[in-house]
Amino acid sequence: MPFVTDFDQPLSIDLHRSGPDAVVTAVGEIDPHTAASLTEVLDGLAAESDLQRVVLDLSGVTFVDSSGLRVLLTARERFDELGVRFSLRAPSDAVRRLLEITDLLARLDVE
Amino acid sequence: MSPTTDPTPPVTTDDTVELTLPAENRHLRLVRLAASGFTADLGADIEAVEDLRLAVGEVCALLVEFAEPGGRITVTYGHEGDTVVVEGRCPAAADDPMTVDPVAETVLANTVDGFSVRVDGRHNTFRIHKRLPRV
Repeated sequence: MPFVTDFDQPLSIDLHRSGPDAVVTAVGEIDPHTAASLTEVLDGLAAESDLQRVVLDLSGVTFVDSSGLRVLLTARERFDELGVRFSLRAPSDAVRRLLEITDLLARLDVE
Repeated sequence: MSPTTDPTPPVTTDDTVELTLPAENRHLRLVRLAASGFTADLGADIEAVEDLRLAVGEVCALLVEFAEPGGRITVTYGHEGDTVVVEGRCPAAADDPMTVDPVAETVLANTVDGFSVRVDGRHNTFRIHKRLPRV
């Protein structure tokens, strides 16, 4: 099921469901302007009862700042509470570097 | 964190770039783009360019978050020799004192050589500087 943010936003988000698994693919920039749209998608998944695993594909993210990191950390906490595995797939260089300099790489499940 | 002071001397060169925009999150891309372009023009390597883009985005997002409704943010890009200095100011919301998120503070501490954010009368301001390694 595709989910796309508003046309004028520099972040597109696709959501694919396959049974108890969900893959969210973000492409573009995650900053204070766009972070809410990613939060909305992840919150929607957290509200579902039959989910076991959520993968967030970040290979197409060209920029992320602390607002994006907060989205990731909040999602990880929420899915942990729900017993849902939450992992990051193929973080781009921009994402990986930010995770490294903030020492958050070890706190997140990175495939 | 509490606002801090930055002892770096003021920029005195003439080749500065100044950007004034509505204090809205949708314009943060522009201040980041200007940071990248200005830094690249000085001959910086790609890592330094990315550091400045990230840092400028963080501090401008901070000023926007605590901006007076309808206010405008002004960002000035300059340099002193090999050191890029970026300053910004924006009218502050009346009853919402500016504070720096710990994650944003960590990002800034790891991307630039110095930064300060403070309240100057009715304005919130920032100043960051980074010495550029040459390619």
